[in-house]
Amino acid sequence: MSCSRRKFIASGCALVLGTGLANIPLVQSMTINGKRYAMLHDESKCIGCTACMDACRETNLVPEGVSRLEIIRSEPQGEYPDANYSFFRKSCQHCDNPPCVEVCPSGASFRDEETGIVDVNPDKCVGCQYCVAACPYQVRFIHPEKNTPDKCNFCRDTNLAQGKLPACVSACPTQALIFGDANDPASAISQQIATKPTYRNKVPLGTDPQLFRIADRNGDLPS
Amino acid sequence: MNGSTLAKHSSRAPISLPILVTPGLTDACKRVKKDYGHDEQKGYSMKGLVRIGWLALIVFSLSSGTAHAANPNKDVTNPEACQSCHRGDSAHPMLGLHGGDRYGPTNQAASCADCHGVGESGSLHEAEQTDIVRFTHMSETNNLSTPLAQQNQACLSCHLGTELRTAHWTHDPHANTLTCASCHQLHPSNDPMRGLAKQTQTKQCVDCHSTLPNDIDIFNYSSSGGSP
Ligand code: SF4
Ligand code: SF4
Ligand code: SF4
Repeated sequence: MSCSRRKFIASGCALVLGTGLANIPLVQSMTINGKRYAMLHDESKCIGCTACMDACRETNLVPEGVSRLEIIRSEPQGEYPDANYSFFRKSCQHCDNPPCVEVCPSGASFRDEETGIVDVNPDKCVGCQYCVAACPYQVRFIHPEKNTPDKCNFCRDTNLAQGKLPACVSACPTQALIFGDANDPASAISQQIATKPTYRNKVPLGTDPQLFRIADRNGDLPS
Repeated sequence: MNGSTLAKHSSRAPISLPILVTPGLTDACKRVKKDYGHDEQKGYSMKGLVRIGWLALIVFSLSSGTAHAANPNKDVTNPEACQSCHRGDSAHPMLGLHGGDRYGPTNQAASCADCHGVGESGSLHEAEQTDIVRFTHMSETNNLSTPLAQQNQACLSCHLGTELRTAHWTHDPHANTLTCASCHQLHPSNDPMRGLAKQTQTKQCVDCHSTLPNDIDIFNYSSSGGSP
Protein backbone atom coordinates (compact mmCIF):
# COMPACT_ATOMS: atom_id res chain seq x y z
CA MET A 1 0.00 0.00 0.00
CA SER A 2 1.62 3.25 -1.05
CA CYS A 3 0.46 5.96 1.22
CA SER A 4 2.32 9.19 1.91
CA ARG A 5 2.05 10.73 5.35
CA ARG A 6 0.01 13.60 3.98
CA LYS A 7 -2.31 11.32 2.10
CA PHE A 8 -2.52 8.98 5.03
CA ILE A 9 -3.87 11.71 7.24
CA ALA A 10 -5.97 13.38 4.62
CA SER A 11 -7.51 10.38 2.92
CA GLY A 12 -9.17 7.25 4.04
CA CYS A 13 -5.97 5.25 4.47
CA ALA A 14 -6.54 5.18 8.18
CA LEU A 15 -9.88 3.58 7.57
CA VAL A 16 -8.40 0.95 5.27
CA LEU A 17 -5.65 0.21 7.79
CA GLY A 18 -8.13 0.08 10.63
CA THR A 19 -10.29 -2.41 8.81
CA GLY A 20 -7.26 -4.51 8.00
CA LEU A 21 -6.18 -4.69 11.64
CA ALA A 22 -9.62 -5.58 12.80
CA ASN A 23 -9.46 -8.77 10.82
CA ILE A 24 -6.48 -10.09 12.74
CA PRO A 25 -7.73 -12.31 15.56
CA LEU A 26 -6.77 -10.86 18.92
CA VAL A 27 -5.81 -14.19 20.37
CA GLN A 28 -3.38 -15.80 18.01
CA SER A 29 -0.36 -17.84 18.92
CA MET A 30 2.69 -17.03 16.89
CA THR A 31 5.62 -18.98 18.23
CA ILE A 32 4.46 -20.55 21.43
CA ASN A 33 4.54 -24.27 21.93
CA GLY A 34 2.69 -24.57 25.19
CA LYS A 35 1.05 -21.98 27.38
CA ARG A 36 0.92 -18.33 26.56
CA TYR A 37 0.40 -16.37 29.70
CA ALA A 38 -1.43 -13.09 29.35
CA MET A 39 -3.04 -10.54 31.63
CA LEU A 40 -6.20 -8.52 31.48
CA HIS A 41 -6.67 -5.24 33.33
CA ASP A 42 -10.34 -4.41 33.59
CA GLU A 43 -10.23 -0.64 33.89
CA SER A 44 -13.95 -0.54 34.46
CA LYS A 45 -13.44 -2.42 37.72
CA CYS A 46 -10.16 -0.81 38.82
CA ILE A 47 -10.51 1.64 41.70
CA GLY A 48 -6.93 2.88 41.62
CA CYS A 49 -6.13 1.63 45.10
CA THR A 50 -2.58 0.57 44.10
CA ALA A 51 -2.76 -2.57 46.23
CA CYS A 52 -1.31 -4.36 43.20
CA MET A 53 1.72 -2.08 43.23
CA ASP A 54 2.37 -2.71 46.91
CA ALA A 55 1.95 -6.47 46.49
CA CYS A 56 4.37 -6.59 43.56
CA ARG A 57 7.00 -4.64 45.47
CA GLU A 58 6.70 -6.91 48.47
CA THR A 59 6.67 -10.23 46.62
CA ASN A 60 9.39 -9.44 44.13
CA LEU A 61 11.55 -7.41 46.50
CA VAL A 62 11.46 -4.35 44.29
CA PRO A 63 13.31 -1.50 46.04
CA GLU A 64 11.63 1.85 46.63
CA GLY A 65 12.18 4.36 43.87
CA VAL A 66 11.66 1.89 41.02
CA SER A 67 8.65 -0.27 40.19
CA ARG A 68 7.59 -3.11 37.93
CA LEU A 69 4.04 -1.90 37.95
CA GLU A 70 2.38 1.49 38.11
CA ILE A 71 -1.27 2.41 38.13
CA ILE A 72 -1.52 5.79 36.44
CA ARG A 73 -4.45 7.88 37.53
CA SER A 74 -5.94 10.31 35.04
CA GLU A 75 -6.80 13.89 35.82
CA PRO A 76 -10.27 14.24 37.33
CA GLN A 77 -13.01 14.22 34.74
CA GLY A 78 -15.90 16.41 35.81
CA GLU A 79 -16.53 18.52 38.86
CA TYR A 80 -17.22 17.52 42.44
CA PRO A 81 -19.43 15.68 43.34
CA ASP A 82 -19.58 14.08 39.91
CA ALA A 83 -15.91 13.77 39.09
CA ASN A 84 -14.35 10.50 38.07
CA TYR A 85 -10.98 9.04 37.18
CA SER A 86 -9.50 6.51 34.79
CA PHE A 87 -6.73 4.10 35.70
CA PHE A 88 -4.08 2.75 33.41
CA ARG A 89 -1.76 -0.13 34.16
CA LYS A 90 1.85 0.49 33.17
CA SER A 91 3.88 -2.72 33.24
CA CYS A 92 5.56 -5.14 30.84
CA GLN A 93 3.14 -6.22 28.12
CA HIS A 94 4.90 -9.54 27.53
CA CYS A 95 4.98 -8.83 23.84
CA ASP A 96 4.71 -11.79 21.49
CA ASN A 97 7.12 -9.88 19.30
CA PRO A 98 9.33 -8.14 21.88
CA PRO A 99 11.75 -5.45 20.68
CA CYS A 100 13.64 -5.69 23.98
CA VAL A 101 14.60 -9.27 23.15
CA GLU A 102 15.32 -8.37 19.55
CA VAL A 103 17.99 -5.80 20.46
CA CYS A 104 19.65 -7.73 23.30
CA PRO A 105 23.17 -8.73 22.16
CA SER A 106 23.79 -11.29 24.88
CA GLY A 107 20.58 -13.25 25.13
CA ALA A 108 19.96 -11.94 28.65
CA SER A 109 16.57 -10.60 27.61
CA PHE A 110 14.58 -13.58 26.47
CA ARG A 111 11.13 -14.84 25.88
CA ASP A 112 10.33 -18.15 27.50
CA GLU A 113 8.91 -20.34 24.76
CA GLU A 114 7.06 -22.53 27.25
CA THR A 115 5.02 -19.72 28.72
CA GLY A 116 5.44 -16.65 26.53
CA ILE A 117 6.84 -14.74 29.50
CA VAL A 118 9.51 -12.17 28.66
CA ASP A 119 12.19 -12.16 31.35
CA VAL A 120 15.77 -11.06 32.05
CA ASN A 121 18.66 -13.30 33.04
CA PRO A 122 20.96 -10.99 35.01
CA ASP A 123 23.87 -13.43 34.71
CA LYS A 124 24.00 -12.98 30.95
CA CYS A 125 23.43 -9.22 30.92
CA VAL A 126 26.33 -7.05 29.75
CA GLY A 127 24.66 -3.84 30.90
CA CYS A 128 24.30 -2.13 27.53
CA GLN A 129 20.71 -1.09 28.32
CA TYR A 130 19.62 -1.48 24.69
CA CYS A 131 16.47 -3.19 25.92
CA VAL A 132 15.61 -0.28 28.20
CA ALA A 133 15.76 2.03 25.22
CA ALA A 134 13.98 -0.34 22.84
CA CYS A 135 10.88 -0.99 24.92
CA PRO A 136 8.13 1.20 23.49
CA TYR A 137 6.16 0.91 26.72
CA GLN A 138 9.03 2.24 28.86
CA VAL A 139 8.58 -0.34 31.54
CA ARG A 140 12.21 -1.41 32.00
CA PHE A 141 14.39 0.07 34.72
CA ILE A 142 17.83 -0.63 36.14
CA HIS A 143 17.49 -2.55 39.37
CA PRO A 144 19.48 -0.53 41.92
CA GLU A 145 20.85 -3.63 43.64
CA LYS A 146 21.37 -5.99 40.70
CA ASN A 147 22.47 -3.22 38.33
CA THR A 148 20.73 -5.00 35.47
CA PRO A 149 17.40 -4.28 33.78
CA ASP A 150 14.31 -5.43 35.60
CA LYS A 151 10.58 -5.43 34.89
CA CYS A 152 7.41 -7.43 35.46
CA ASN A 153 7.99 -11.12 34.70
CA PHE A 154 4.51 -12.29 35.69
CA CYS A 155 6.11 -13.37 38.99
CA ARG A 156 7.78 -16.17 37.02
CA ASP A 157 10.41 -16.85 39.69
CA THR A 158 8.28 -16.02 42.73
CA ASN A 159 4.55 -16.68 42.93
CA LEU A 160 4.24 -18.53 39.63
CA ALA A 161 7.11 -20.84 40.55
CA GLN A 162 5.19 -21.68 43.72
CA GLY A 163 2.02 -22.41 41.80
CA LYS A 164 0.36 -19.20 42.92
CA LEU A 165 -1.22 -16.40 40.94
CA PRO A 166 0.89 -13.29 40.36
CA ALA A 167 1.00 -11.10 43.45
CA CYS A 168 -0.78 -8.16 41.85
CA VAL A 169 -3.65 -10.38 40.72
CA SER A 170 -4.32 -11.87 44.13
CA ALA A 171 -4.01 -8.49 45.84
CA CYS A 172 -6.65 -6.78 43.75
CA PRO A 173 -9.79 -6.22 45.84
CA THR A 174 -12.11 -5.84 42.85
CA GLN A 175 -10.84 -8.69 40.64
CA ALA A 176 -9.82 -6.14 38.05
CA LEU A 177 -6.81 -8.26 37.09
CA ILE A 178 -7.14 -11.60 35.35
CA PHE A 179 -4.15 -13.79 34.59
CA GLY A 180 -4.08 -17.00 32.64
CA ASP A 181 -3.25 -18.99 29.55
CA ALA A 182 -4.54 -17.23 26.46
CA ASN A 183 -3.91 -20.41 24.47
CA ASP A 184 -6.49 -22.28 26.53
CA PRO A 185 -9.94 -21.31 25.24
CA ALA A 186 -11.49 -22.38 28.55
CA SER A 187 -9.33 -20.12 30.71
CA ALA A 188 -10.94 -17.11 32.40
CA ILE A 189 -8.80 -14.70 30.43
CA SER A 190 -9.66 -16.29 27.08
CA GLN A 191 -13.33 -16.17 28.00
CA GLN A 192 -13.12 -12.51 28.88
CA ILE A 193 -11.22 -11.65 25.72
CA ALA A 194 -13.71 -13.60 23.64
CA THR A 195 -16.80 -12.01 25.15
CA LYS A 196 -15.83 -8.46 26.08
CA PRO A 197 -14.42 -5.60 24.05
CA THR A 198 -10.75 -5.33 24.91
CA TYR A 199 -7.94 -3.17 23.66
CA ARG A 200 -4.17 -3.28 23.81
CA ASN A 201 -1.65 -0.49 23.91
CA LYS A 202 0.39 0.52 20.82
CA VAL A 203 -0.73 -2.43 18.71
CA PRO A 204 0.28 -0.75 15.42
CA LEU A 205 3.95 -1.04 16.45
CA GLY A 206 3.70 -4.75 15.80
CA THR A 207 4.80 -5.79 19.28
CA ASP A 208 1.71 -7.95 19.80
CA PRO A 209 1.35 -7.09 23.49
CA GLN A 210 -0.24 -9.67 25.77
CA LEU A 211 -1.61 -7.19 28.28
CA PHE A 212 -5.27 -6.78 27.42
CA ARG A 213 -7.46 -4.03 28.76
CA ILE A 214 -11.16 -3.40 29.19
CA ALA A 215 -11.78 0.32 28.86
CA ASP A 216 -13.75 2.11 31.54
CA ARG A 217 -16.59 4.43 30.68
CA ASN A 218 -14.81 7.63 31.42
CA GLY A 219 -13.18 7.87 28.05
CA ASP A 220 -9.78 9.49 28.02
CA LEU A 221 -6.63 7.56 28.68
CA PRO A 222 -3.63 9.22 30.24
CA SER A 223 -1.17 10.15 27.50
CA MET B 1 -35.53 7.65 48.00
CA ASN B 2 -37.50 10.57 46.78
CA GLY B 3 -37.28 14.22 47.59
CA SER B 4 -39.97 14.21 50.23
CA THR B 5 -38.36 11.56 52.42
CA LEU B 6 -35.12 13.37 51.97
CA ALA B 7 -36.53 16.59 53.27
CA LYS B 8 -38.75 15.17 55.96
CA HIS B 9 -37.21 12.16 57.54
CA SER B 10 -39.52 12.60 60.48
CA SER B 11 -41.93 10.37 58.62
CA ARG B 12 -41.44 6.80 59.73
CA ALA B 13 -41.31 5.37 56.25
CA PRO B 14 -38.11 3.34 56.07
CA ILE B 15 -35.42 4.97 54.00
CA SER B 16 -33.92 2.14 52.02
CA LEU B 17 -30.31 3.03 51.62
CA PRO B 18 -28.26 0.02 50.59
CA ILE B 19 -25.55 -1.05 52.99
CA LEU B 20 -22.24 -0.40 51.34
CA VAL B 21 -19.75 -1.27 54.00
CA THR B 22 -19.57 -3.96 56.61
CA PRO B 23 -19.68 -2.34 60.05
CA GLY B 24 -16.64 -2.65 62.23
CA LEU B 25 -14.42 -3.41 59.28
CA THR B 26 -11.71 -0.96 60.16
CA ASP B 27 -11.18 1.42 63.01
CA ALA B 28 -11.99 4.20 60.64
CA CYS B 29 -15.33 2.65 60.00
CA LYS B 30 -16.44 3.08 63.58
CA ARG B 31 -18.49 6.12 64.21
CA VAL B 32 -18.96 8.27 67.21
CA LYS B 33 -22.23 7.49 68.89
CA LYS B 34 -23.97 10.73 69.52
CA ASP B 35 -27.46 9.53 70.19
CA TYR B 36 -27.08 8.73 73.84
CA GLY B 37 -28.53 5.52 75.11
CA HIS B 38 -29.96 4.63 71.76
CA ASP B 39 -29.54 1.19 70.36
CA GLU B 40 -30.59 0.64 66.78
CA GLN B 41 -31.95 -2.82 67.50
CA LYS B 42 -33.47 -2.41 70.93
CA GLY B 43 -34.72 1.15 70.78
CA TYR B 44 -34.05 3.20 73.91
CA SER B 45 -32.43 1.95 77.05
CA MET B 46 -33.83 3.06 80.39
CA LYS B 47 -30.73 5.14 81.01
CA GLY B 48 -31.15 6.74 77.65
CA LEU B 49 -34.78 7.52 78.30
CA VAL B 50 -33.94 9.08 81.65
CA ARG B 51 -31.28 11.19 79.96
CA ILE B 52 -33.64 12.20 77.26
CA GLY B 53 -36.21 13.05 79.89
CA TRP B 54 -33.77 15.25 81.76
CA LEU B 55 -32.67 16.88 78.59
CA ALA B 56 -36.22 17.60 77.55
CA LEU B 57 -36.85 19.10 80.96
CA ILE B 58 -33.77 21.30 80.82
CA VAL B 59 -34.42 22.35 77.28
CA PHE B 60 -38.03 23.02 78.06
CA SER B 61 -37.22 25.20 81.05
CA LEU B 62 -34.51 27.01 79.12
CA SER B 63 -36.64 27.76 76.16
CA SER B 64 -39.86 28.42 78.07
CA GLY B 65 -41.88 26.47 75.61
CA THR B 66 -40.57 28.13 72.47
CA ALA B 67 -38.32 26.65 69.81
CA HIS B 68 -34.65 26.19 70.68
CA ALA B 69 -33.49 28.91 68.37
CA ALA B 70 -35.65 31.57 69.99
CA ASN B 71 -33.21 32.62 72.70
CA PRO B 72 -29.62 32.99 71.49
CA ASN B 73 -28.15 32.45 74.96
CA LYS B 74 -30.09 29.36 75.83
CA ASP B 75 -30.51 27.48 72.57
CA VAL B 76 -28.69 24.81 70.63
CA THR B 77 -26.52 27.34 68.85
CA ASN B 78 -24.74 27.79 72.16
CA PRO B 79 -22.30 24.88 72.55
CA GLU B 80 -22.39 25.20 76.31
CA ALA B 81 -26.09 24.49 76.34
CA CYS B 82 -25.55 21.31 74.30
CA GLN B 83 -22.48 20.24 76.20
CA SER B 84 -24.18 20.53 79.52
CA CYS B 85 -25.65 17.18 78.52
CA HIS B 86 -23.64 16.03 75.52
CA ARG B 87 -20.31 15.95 77.26
CA GLY B 88 -19.29 12.70 75.71
CA ASP B 89 -17.47 10.02 77.62
CA SER B 90 -14.06 8.43 77.44
CA ALA B 91 -15.12 6.34 74.45
CA HIS B 92 -16.80 9.20 72.64
CA PRO B 93 -15.26 12.42 73.82
CA MET B 94 -16.28 15.77 72.44
CA LEU B 95 -12.87 16.90 71.32
CA GLY B 96 -11.01 17.73 68.19
CA LEU B 97 -11.43 20.31 65.51
CA HIS B 98 -15.21 20.09 65.55
CA GLY B 99 -15.67 19.32 69.22
CA GLY B 100 -14.61 21.27 72.26
CA ASP B 101 -10.93 21.89 71.73
CA ARG B 102 -10.70 24.58 69.16
CA TYR B 103 -14.14 25.49 68.04
CA GLY B 104 -15.89 24.93 71.31
CA PRO B 105 -17.01 27.47 73.88
CA THR B 106 -13.62 29.19 74.05
CA ASN B 107 -13.37 29.76 70.32
CA GLN B 108 -16.76 29.69 68.77
CA ALA B 109 -15.82 29.34 65.15
CA ALA B 110 -18.40 26.60 64.80
CA SER B 111 -21.28 25.72 67.03
CA CYS B 112 -23.03 22.39 67.34
CA ALA B 113 -25.93 23.81 65.39
CA ASP B 114 -23.70 24.78 62.47
CA CYS B 115 -23.41 21.11 61.63
CA HIS B 116 -26.29 19.44 63.45
CA GLY B 117 -28.88 22.11 62.69
CA VAL B 118 -31.32 23.57 65.17
CA GLY B 119 -34.28 21.41 64.35
CA GLU B 120 -37.49 22.92 63.17
CA SER B 121 -40.12 21.20 65.19
CA GLY B 122 -38.92 21.97 68.69
CA SER B 123 -39.21 18.27 69.36
CA LEU B 124 -35.47 18.11 69.25
CA HIS B 125 -34.83 15.10 71.39
CA GLU B 126 -37.81 12.98 70.63
CA ALA B 127 -35.41 10.86 68.79
CA GLU B 128 -37.65 9.29 66.21
CA GLN B 129 -38.90 12.64 65.04
CA THR B 130 -35.83 14.73 65.48
CA ASP B 131 -34.69 16.76 62.55
CA ILE B 132 -31.29 17.29 64.07
CA VAL B 133 -28.65 16.17 61.55
CA ARG B 134 -26.98 12.94 62.64
CA PHE B 135 -23.73 11.89 61.05
CA THR B 136 -23.61 8.17 60.50
CA HIS B 137 -21.57 5.50 58.82
CA MET B 138 -23.20 4.26 55.61
CA SER B 139 -23.97 0.92 57.25
CA GLU B 140 -25.95 2.74 59.95
CA THR B 141 -27.85 4.97 57.62
CA ASN B 142 -31.39 3.84 58.29
CA ASN B 143 -34.76 5.35 58.94
CA LEU B 144 -33.57 6.99 62.15
CA SER B 145 -30.67 8.80 60.61
CA THR B 146 -30.18 11.72 58.31
CA PRO B 147 -30.10 10.96 54.57
CA LEU B 148 -26.74 10.89 52.85
CA ALA B 149 -27.23 14.05 50.82
CA GLN B 150 -28.27 16.05 53.84
CA GLN B 151 -25.38 14.78 55.98
CA ASN B 152 -22.82 15.59 53.36
CA GLN B 153 -24.34 18.94 52.60
CA ALA B 154 -23.67 19.96 56.19
CA CYS B 155 -19.98 19.16 55.70
CA LEU B 156 -19.82 20.72 52.25
CA SER B 157 -21.10 24.04 53.54
CA CYS B 158 -17.57 24.58 54.89
CA HIS B 159 -15.40 21.99 53.10
CA LEU B 160 -15.39 22.88 49.43
CA GLY B 161 -15.21 20.16 46.81
CA THR B 162 -12.03 21.64 45.39
CA GLU B 163 -10.35 21.49 48.80
CA LEU B 164 -11.48 17.94 49.31
CA ARG B 165 -9.97 16.97 45.97
CA THR B 166 -6.66 18.54 46.93
CA ALA B 167 -6.69 16.80 50.31
CA HIS B 168 -7.27 13.40 48.70
CA TRP B 169 -8.55 12.43 45.28
CA THR B 170 -10.75 9.69 46.72
CA HIS B 171 -13.18 12.35 47.93
CA ASP B 172 -14.29 12.74 44.32
CA PRO B 173 -15.48 9.23 43.50
CA HIS B 174 -17.19 8.76 46.88
CA ALA B 175 -19.03 12.07 46.97
CA ASN B 176 -22.42 10.63 46.07
CA THR B 177 -22.06 7.17 47.53
CA LEU B 178 -20.66 7.54 51.03
CA THR B 179 -21.46 9.74 53.98
CA CYS B 180 -18.43 11.70 55.15
CA ALA B 181 -18.83 10.03 58.55
CA SER B 182 -18.28 6.64 56.92
CA CYS B 183 -14.59 7.44 57.04
CA HIS B 184 -14.18 10.51 59.22
CA GLN B 185 -14.73 10.93 62.93
CA LEU B 186 -15.09 14.48 64.09
CA HIS B 187 -15.29 14.45 67.85
CA PRO B 188 -12.23 12.46 68.90
CA SER B 189 -9.17 14.64 69.43
CA ASN B 190 -7.83 13.52 66.06
CA ASP B 191 -9.63 12.20 63.01
CA PRO B 192 -8.05 8.79 62.35
CA MET B 193 -8.06 9.55 58.62
CA ARG B 194 -5.57 12.35 59.04
CA GLY B 195 -1.96 11.62 58.19
CA LEU B 196 -2.41 7.98 57.23
CA ALA B 197 0.65 6.29 55.75
CA LYS B 198 0.34 5.47 52.05
CA GLN B 199 0.02 1.74 52.63
CA THR B 200 -2.61 2.27 55.29
CA GLN B 201 -4.57 4.38 52.85
CA THR B 202 -4.44 1.53 50.35
CA LYS B 203 -5.67 -0.82 53.05
CA GLN B 204 -8.73 1.39 53.57
CA CYS B 205 -9.62 0.96 49.89
CA VAL B 206 -9.05 -2.78 49.96
CA ASP B 207 -10.95 -3.41 53.19
CA CYS B 208 -14.13 -1.80 51.91
CA HIS B 209 -13.98 -2.65 48.23
CA SER B 210 -13.25 -6.33 48.73
CA THR B 211 -16.60 -6.61 50.53
CA LEU B 212 -18.61 -5.09 47.70
CA PRO B 213 -20.42 -7.55 45.49
CA ASN B 214 -18.40 -8.12 42.36
CA ASP B 215 -21.30 -7.33 40.08
CA ILE B 216 -21.84 -3.81 41.41
CA ASP B 217 -20.97 -1.27 38.77
CA ILE B 218 -19.10 1.08 41.07
CA PHE B 219 -18.91 3.81 38.48
CA ASN B 220 -22.65 3.88 38.06
CA TYR B 221 -23.57 3.36 41.64
CA SER B 222 -25.65 5.87 43.50
CA SER B 223 -26.87 5.08 46.97
CA SER B 224 -29.18 8.08 47.00
CA GLY B 225 -30.79 6.81 43.83
CA GLY B 226 -31.94 3.63 45.52
CA SER B 227 -30.81 1.08 42.98
CA PRO B 228 -27.54 0.80 41.12
S1 SF4 C 1 6.63 -4.36 27.11
FE1 SF4 C 1 8.73 -3.71 26.77
S2 SF4 C 1 9.92 -4.98 28.16
FE2 SF4 C 1 7.92 -5.95 28.00
S3 SF4 C 1 8.15 -7.46 26.36
FE3 SF4 C 1 7.35 -5.61 25.41
S4 SF4 C 1 9.18 -4.53 24.72
FE4 SF4 C 1 9.88 -6.05 26.19
S1 SF4 D 1 2.76 -10.10 37.52
FE1 SF4 D 1 4.17 -10.12 39.27
S2 SF4 D 1 5.94 -8.98 38.54
FE2 SF4 D 1 4.27 -8.48 37.14
S3 SF4 D 1 3.37 -6.64 37.99
FE3 SF4 D 1 2.21 -8.36 38.82
S4 SF4 D 1 3.21 -8.77 40.77
FE4 SF4 D 1 4.63 -7.49 39.60
S1 SF4 E 1 -5.26 -3.62 42.92
FE1 SF4 E 1 -6.84 -3.81 41.34
S2 SF4 E 1 -8.27 -2.13 41.76
FE2 SF4 E 1 -6.39 -1.67 42.89
S3 SF4 E 1 -5.21 -0.39 41.48
FE3 SF4 E 1 -4.52 -2.50 41.14
S4 SF4 E 1 -5.80 -3.24 39.47
FE4 SF4 E 1 -6.79 -1.38 40.25
